[in-house]
Amino acid sequence: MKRRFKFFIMTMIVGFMLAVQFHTNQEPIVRDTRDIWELRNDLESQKTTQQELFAEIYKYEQLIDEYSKSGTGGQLETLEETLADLKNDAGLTEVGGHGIELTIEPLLNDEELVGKPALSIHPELLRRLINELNGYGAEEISIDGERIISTTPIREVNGKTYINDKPISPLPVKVKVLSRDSDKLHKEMLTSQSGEDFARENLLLSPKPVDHVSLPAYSHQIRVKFMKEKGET
Amino acid sequence: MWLPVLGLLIGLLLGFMSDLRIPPEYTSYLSIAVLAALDTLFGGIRAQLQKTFDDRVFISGFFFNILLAAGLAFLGVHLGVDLYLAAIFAFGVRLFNNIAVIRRLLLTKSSENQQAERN
Repeated sequence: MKRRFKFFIMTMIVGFMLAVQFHTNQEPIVRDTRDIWELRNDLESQKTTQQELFAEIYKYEQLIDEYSKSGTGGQLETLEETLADLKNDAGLTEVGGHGIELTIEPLLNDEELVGKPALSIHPELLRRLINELNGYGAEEISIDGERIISTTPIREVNGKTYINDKPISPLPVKVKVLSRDSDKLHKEMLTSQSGEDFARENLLLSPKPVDHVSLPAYSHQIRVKFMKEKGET
Repeated sequence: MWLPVLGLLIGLLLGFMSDLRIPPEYTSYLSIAVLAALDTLFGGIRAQLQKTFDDRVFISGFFFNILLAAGLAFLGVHLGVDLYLAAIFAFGVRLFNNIAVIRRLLLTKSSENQQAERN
């Protein structure tokens, strides 16, 4: 009897350990802890996304409509329009409009910098600047007369910064940005993180709102590496 | 026979009711301790069936194995060598051995019973 009792105690301990182990390995249940305002905000953002998607669908439906309705001449016209739109989106055309102009120049006077090597703009700084501009709603960007498209390379070669495989000109360098709300972009750039980052490298980034900026077209060939032409369907 | 099973059930119940959780960094110790406990338990059952059961050996083995396994895992963590694998291997092999022996003993027992019934 005593022996059985000992067995009983042992198995109880084992059972307890097993249960604790099982408990520990169970993932805690993630609860939805959003309150009503957060839920409303989320709903709002989802609705905005839905609206945007609907607009997109409508646009493409109209395009299909145009393709199917008009005759051969009309179809050609529509195709050309689409091609022009796509070229515009890809940055192959010159564009202009409201925007801001950023000037990158030395932060200190030239006299104070005697004997120091000429300042250069590090590619990382430019990348951060582009990211920040895009974050603030920039539509098109060009740096030193080079249009920035989605595949634009910005790299450092032998201590020089190259954009679109062309060396950047000596300071001051102008950055032109096209934006729908240029006032807001200008105000945001006045207090931007990029300004601080440039200042740390002894460079001054000064934004200026411009009524009409014109951005040059992307002048190089766009190499498409990872896409294939779709065959006849 | 039913008492150990009852003990196991009560232990499980207590564990689930207590809602105790081990911090994630100690889970490996607990898992290895569980393995050691299971090994000792099956060793005890085998000894009982072979009629070589000794209380003191059983109880000391139970606690000593758990402590040794956890200690080995602890040492392994601090030395950067996965020493707990040694414990897992040893206990795993012994667990299988014990269960195999228990199965054989039960089989021979049942066949003996059947023969006795026939006779």
